[in-house]
Amino acid sequence: MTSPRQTDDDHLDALLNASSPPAPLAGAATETDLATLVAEARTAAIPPRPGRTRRHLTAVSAAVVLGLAGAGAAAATVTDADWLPWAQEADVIFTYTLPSGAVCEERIGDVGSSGDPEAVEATREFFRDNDVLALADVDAMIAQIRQEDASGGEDGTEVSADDPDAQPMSADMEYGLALGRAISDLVTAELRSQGFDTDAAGVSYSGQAWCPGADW
Amino acid sequence: MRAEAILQDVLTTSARDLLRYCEYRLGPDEAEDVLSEVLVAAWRRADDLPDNGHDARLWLFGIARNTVLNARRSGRRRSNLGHQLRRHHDGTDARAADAGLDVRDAVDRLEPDLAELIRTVHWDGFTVAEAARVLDIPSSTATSRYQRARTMLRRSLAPDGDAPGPAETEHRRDRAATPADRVPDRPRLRTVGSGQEVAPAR
Repeated sequence: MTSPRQTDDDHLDALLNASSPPAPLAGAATETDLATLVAEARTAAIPPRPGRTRRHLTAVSAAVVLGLAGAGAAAATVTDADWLPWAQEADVIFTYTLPSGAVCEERIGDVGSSGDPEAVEATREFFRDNDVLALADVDAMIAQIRQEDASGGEDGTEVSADDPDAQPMSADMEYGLALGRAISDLVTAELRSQGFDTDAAGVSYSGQAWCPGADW
Repeated sequence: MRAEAILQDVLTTSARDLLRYCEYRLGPDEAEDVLSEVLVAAWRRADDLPDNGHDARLWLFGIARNTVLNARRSGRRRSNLGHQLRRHHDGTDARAADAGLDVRDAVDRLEPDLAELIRTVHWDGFTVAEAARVLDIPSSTATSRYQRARTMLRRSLAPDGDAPGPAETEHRRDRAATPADRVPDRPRLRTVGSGQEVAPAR
């Protein structure tokens, strides 16, 4: 049986719960609006460091090509979720957040080898059995890339100020490249630890990332 | 990076509730700017973020609480962040059709600390214990304030209008029998971040 006191409490609760003022802005804001505010705030709070250049891109690309002798491939980015055929059955799928706040879904697969089928299986097993995102030291790779840039790129070649490669690179781009390169290094190290000759094995894999809202 | 990932998750989940929190207290014209300040402060303090979703959400509303207080103290000044949201608001005063005005006025007449506790529980959907953390006061203090506020509101909202004077309210304080944490219409739970259950604002 409900006591008068309980009824009184329930009535007061109902009155108080219904007393909030109108909030038309919160009701009308779209998810995109709110996500944009969150991303803008992040940029305002943690502005990208100046002075980074697309020379990084050159250095990273070269490193990835070199890494293909062991393992690795740059991740292509897509503007919508039109995954490539191999990505429909990727070996690993993970998500991460870029400096802008944009969230990426990345898929890695399409593992191949020009010289050692066993290395393919070892690579796929590594992707399946490990949290590559947790293992990848992106911060260290970003630092390494910046160091390479400060010393004139991986090959020491100076780039003129008006060269497209000398233009500032976004923090998102830097992060994405560093992540891809860090994963490539992980795979290379794993294969070598298992006794594979990574130069001879010629392992390669593909990556595709979907990062709506990213600042490339 | 982990703190920033958790913060991104909690902000994504809580941004609308934070906007509502600001709008309840400052109105739509100022809410977006203040929300932007809350978000910037959260990102700058990401290293202080509690590592589970529930605590992180309370931490976030604590920042919102302080930012709202600062905004009230300083008067408003516009931030330079984008104003995406105001285009949705046509500037009309939606309060004109607001049925809760009398109750809200009664809440506004409470002492400020009591009124804010009532708002945090009944407008934002927190338990009294959670509200204590948002308001940065001991839980026991929040419980006693909540009971006191309810007693005063019960009297001031009585149909016959026999609102008690201060002495009578004080006398009735001990009779406020509602357990502080027994808040009917407890908000639904949802999952954020690392699987922590969070009570969202209504």
